Amino acid sequence: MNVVLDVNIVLDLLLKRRPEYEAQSRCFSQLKQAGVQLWFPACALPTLDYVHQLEIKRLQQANQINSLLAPKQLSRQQLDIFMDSLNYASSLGVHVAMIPKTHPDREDALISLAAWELHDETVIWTNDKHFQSVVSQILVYDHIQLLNLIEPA
Amino acid sequence: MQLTALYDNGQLIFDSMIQLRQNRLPIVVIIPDHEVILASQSPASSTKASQPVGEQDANLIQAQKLLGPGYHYVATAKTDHELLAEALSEKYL
Repeated sequence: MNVVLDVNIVLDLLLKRRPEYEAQSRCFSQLKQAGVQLWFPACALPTLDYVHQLEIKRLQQANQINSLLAPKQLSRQQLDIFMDSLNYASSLGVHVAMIPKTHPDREDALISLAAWELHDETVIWTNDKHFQSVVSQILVYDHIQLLNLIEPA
Repeated sequence: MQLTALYDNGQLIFDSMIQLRQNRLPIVVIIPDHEVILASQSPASSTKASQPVGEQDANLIQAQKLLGPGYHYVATAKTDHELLAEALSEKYL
């Protein structure tokens, strides 16, 4: 099984952004322990970089982060360490033409198409309730749905 | 200032000559994951550093440690899309 992490999940995990962080962290750990292949869509890396850097900068200015590193360096180092756990899912040029004209978010569409390129059963992990997969076989789960899938009843 | 250094039996040896104002000061050191033996691992049974430890994942813990002690996330009213727009405008506008 493959799980593709959306940008918001990586940010939630790295920065402990949400009240449900503990459950998200448990979900991430259990997915790895279960041998699930974890992926990040290469097409979303710039978005992750930009938002992560901005969040780090904001938190440093608010004195919430105690580090001698500049925001850009800290962001890059944090991502490099974390991304060591993940594989990158590739996008293809032909994916662009496969996005329906009415799709509300082309990045989400590209993420779901990158997920579709992976072999085996694949789901996207996001906290975005409005995330729309272009491909019906690619399901979109939050951490609760994923935990239900991997944790024994 | 960022420098490269060689770790040698408990000492850091800088690649270039540098004079520091103080004899003792905190610095940040980055060590590759695969070179670290976690407390819960003996050298004989050491596994890949990216493997999870208990409920928390080792890579995630290591990445979060960079945020420093006492880190606490303060929420922003902005959505991720708004943050992205702000970051892109800083870069391109």
